[in-house]
Amino acid sequence: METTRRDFLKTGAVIGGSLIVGAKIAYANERGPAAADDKPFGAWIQITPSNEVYFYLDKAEMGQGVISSLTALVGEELGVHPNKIRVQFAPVGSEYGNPAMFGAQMTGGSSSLRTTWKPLREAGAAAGWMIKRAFAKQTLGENFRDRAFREEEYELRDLQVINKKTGAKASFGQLATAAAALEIPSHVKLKDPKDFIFVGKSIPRYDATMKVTGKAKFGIDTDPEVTKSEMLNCVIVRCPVIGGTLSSFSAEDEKPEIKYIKLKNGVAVVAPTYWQALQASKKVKAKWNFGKNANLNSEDLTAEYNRLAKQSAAYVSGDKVSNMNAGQIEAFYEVPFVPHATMEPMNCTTWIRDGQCDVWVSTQAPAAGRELAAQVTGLPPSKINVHSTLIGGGFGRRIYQDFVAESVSVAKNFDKPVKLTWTREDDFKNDYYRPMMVHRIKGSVGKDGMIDFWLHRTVGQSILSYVIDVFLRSLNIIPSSSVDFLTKMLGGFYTPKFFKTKFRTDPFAIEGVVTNIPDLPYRQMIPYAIDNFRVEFAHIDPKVPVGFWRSVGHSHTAFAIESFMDELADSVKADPYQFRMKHLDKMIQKNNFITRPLARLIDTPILHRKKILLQKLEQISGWSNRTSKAGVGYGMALHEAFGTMCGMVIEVLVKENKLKVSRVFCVVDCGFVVNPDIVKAQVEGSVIFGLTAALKQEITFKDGQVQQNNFYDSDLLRYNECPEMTVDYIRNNEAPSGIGEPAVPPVAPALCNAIFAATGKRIRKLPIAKAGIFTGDFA
Amino acid sequence: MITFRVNGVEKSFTGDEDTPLLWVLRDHLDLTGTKFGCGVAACGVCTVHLDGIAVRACVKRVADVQNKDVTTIEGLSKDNRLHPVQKAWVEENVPQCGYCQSGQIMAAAALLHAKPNPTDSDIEIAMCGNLCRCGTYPRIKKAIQKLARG
Repeated sequence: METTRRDFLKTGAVIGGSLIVGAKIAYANERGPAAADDKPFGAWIQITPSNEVYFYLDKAEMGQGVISSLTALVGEELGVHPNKIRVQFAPVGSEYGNPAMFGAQMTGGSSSLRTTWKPLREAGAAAGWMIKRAFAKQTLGENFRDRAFREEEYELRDLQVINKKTGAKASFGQLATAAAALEIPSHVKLKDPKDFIFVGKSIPRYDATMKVTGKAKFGIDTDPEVTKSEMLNCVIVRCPVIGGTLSSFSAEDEKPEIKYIKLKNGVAVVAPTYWQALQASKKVKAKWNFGKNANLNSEDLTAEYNRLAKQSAAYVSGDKVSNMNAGQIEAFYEVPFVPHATMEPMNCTTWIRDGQCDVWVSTQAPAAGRELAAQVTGLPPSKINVHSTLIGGGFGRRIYQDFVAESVSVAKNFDKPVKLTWTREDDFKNDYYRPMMVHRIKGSVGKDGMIDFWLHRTVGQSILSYVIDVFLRSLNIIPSSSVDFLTKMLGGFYTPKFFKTKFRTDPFAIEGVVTNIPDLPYRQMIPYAIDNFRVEFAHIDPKVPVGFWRSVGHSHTAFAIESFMDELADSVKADPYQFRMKHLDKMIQKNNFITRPLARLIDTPILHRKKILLQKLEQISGWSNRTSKAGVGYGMALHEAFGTMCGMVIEVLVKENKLKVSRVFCVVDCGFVVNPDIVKAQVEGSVIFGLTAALKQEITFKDGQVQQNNFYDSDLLRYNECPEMTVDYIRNNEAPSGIGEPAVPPVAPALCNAIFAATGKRIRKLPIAKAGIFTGDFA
Repeated sequence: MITFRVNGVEKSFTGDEDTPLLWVLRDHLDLTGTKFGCGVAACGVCTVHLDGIAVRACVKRVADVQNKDVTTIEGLSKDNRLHPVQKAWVEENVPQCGYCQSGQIMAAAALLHAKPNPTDSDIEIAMCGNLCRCGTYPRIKKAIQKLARG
């Protein structure tokens, strides 16, 4: 594989005689290759004279494995075992903008691998080329001839370069300074995938040992370099009603070591230790202005969302005419607000002194954190140092930087570092939840057994309006003052009027039903042929903070689509697998008659990959030979998210109101697999994440207050509830796509389809516990 | 003053005797391998050994550990060699974000110490109090079963 992309690579300033190579992180999306010329350089590789290789990783490691898989890309081309490379988290800078996140420095959208797959290997290959060339120059001396230099005469292995003919060798360190003086190559030859040593192999995770010995430092463990006695701890008492503000407060038994700081929505209690702060926080008596949300109740929301689903809504895609009378089969699917519940509670440590501000935080969006800290302190962004750490669970929650703003606001009042730690209750009650959504679908199957009508109406909140400020701040180019203005202005596009005229929908509310690229016509993404297809969206804003939650819109659209496919199949007594295959086939045929690529609903190669995936799923799950015993059910689902396809079959045992999720079969196609074991781990984790949400998770409101408190009343799936899992992946050489999220969406529909198969009871409202069905053990 | 041993070393604490052991470990003794997750013994990320038995440090008053032996994740491995449970965890590539794993490992180590050959039901009872949001349970299961057989 030959690439001529000189402008993608560059050498950096030489620090202490090191060779430094930077790569531009740009990727080809559905609309063709991104223009890379104006994009700055993101990832950096450094080879030091002391024979060490550093990799400055601009992505956050939150369990998804980028610290292992991206490092493997660099190590592969350099011939260095990835676990011998020293990985450092990159600081904040415009060069770290993520092209998949609108240029914001942000880790999310299952984007890390698909955006770095080529550039990181190119950077590694360029550094390797320079080492080889420096070696050739050194060994040949005056006899070195530019044109005679053949890269393939040298091998890189274990931090050494070796002349294959003579066996002469030198360490990277010995050559680093000389290599740094060379020009970056104009041609980079990447390794043929068949020669990969580390990539495509299940090499051990980079961070496994530090994470089993307690040595891994998360945000909550990371303190400034001061003795413990110098640091202060902070707990915040917040208004119990979302969006409410503090009116006044008093503190019982005031102690000199406890300080109280008045915030807009609460009281910060600051003490030498966390325990002291927590105890004092329980004695704060506050008066609140509950504001507009004082009457927010979940029952009312359900009624209102369903009422809207029955009215006409804004056109998004498909047929121009809305005809809700046409379909014979109608279903309302409802999903609740759900929390992220990361195991590491939100936290942030801030130290403001000598005209600068240091922030230690586990975050998915460090640039937004820096910008917020700048705004709160009044210091220029260059005086804010964000120290990113390992993350104890992100799932989208740590894209929001509310805890950074809080921490900095409190620390402003002290000359010592202040660590803010949220309680678990704070975490459940102050999340940016996956929004509650209602899907109403009407459809029908014609005499030929094919779907002839599908009207899909989605009702819900816009995630985009709650994340605009984070994106703007993450761009590193917009001044603080403008962020507030722009957020207000753009946030205004959620007023219904602007919605109807300009943005018909929030792309995150309908992704999966249609594509989520707003500047093109929203194209059908459901991969099945449908003769009459129409999508509508009705916006409602109950002012509950909502946000990105592992797999975002796909988490509910897949539930509606794949449940409804099951209902349609059942309506004509078709086998759910055959029914899906038939409609995939017909979609491919339909595409054959469309010559303009953009008019095609879904690219034909994607449809073929989905067919291959379904076939494999059918095989590994034993679908055709499944038992038909009473109380045993099998459900199937297929969904594509972030370029990765995932098919799932779930087996359940049901007895009265007791349910056991016994087995899960899953096949993914995420293109070329960089680390098979990490892919499997992500799929296993996603299935469990999806099961937690489908079975038990919800956030409900009573008089504006979140009713859930802690894990005792908002539980996660536990060890004893975990099903047996069989995970497989398709082996192909397509460009790699992400794996952090795409296995979440098929879980809920496959599970509910399985319950239907076992009992004849169709569950359309999550969590399943709402239907009085709970997990339990039975013989 | 409360005195106790942590990972074999004598320690003392002079503050509020109601302070949970978790915060004494984390904020006073700088042993941050033991994590905070819920504060109410509902998630298990703070699991440590008290005289060899797995307890939730977030609800254990420091006054109640007087004269007792506390082992944390930092004290599980001896002489820089991984404890068999830690080794099995690395071999099965268990950790994802890793935040809950100190607690998972301490729970598993206490179980295997008390019952070197636990049944699947023993394992379920010992491990169902430890939450993992990343969903590493299948690998935890493999790792413990391997140790149980081994």
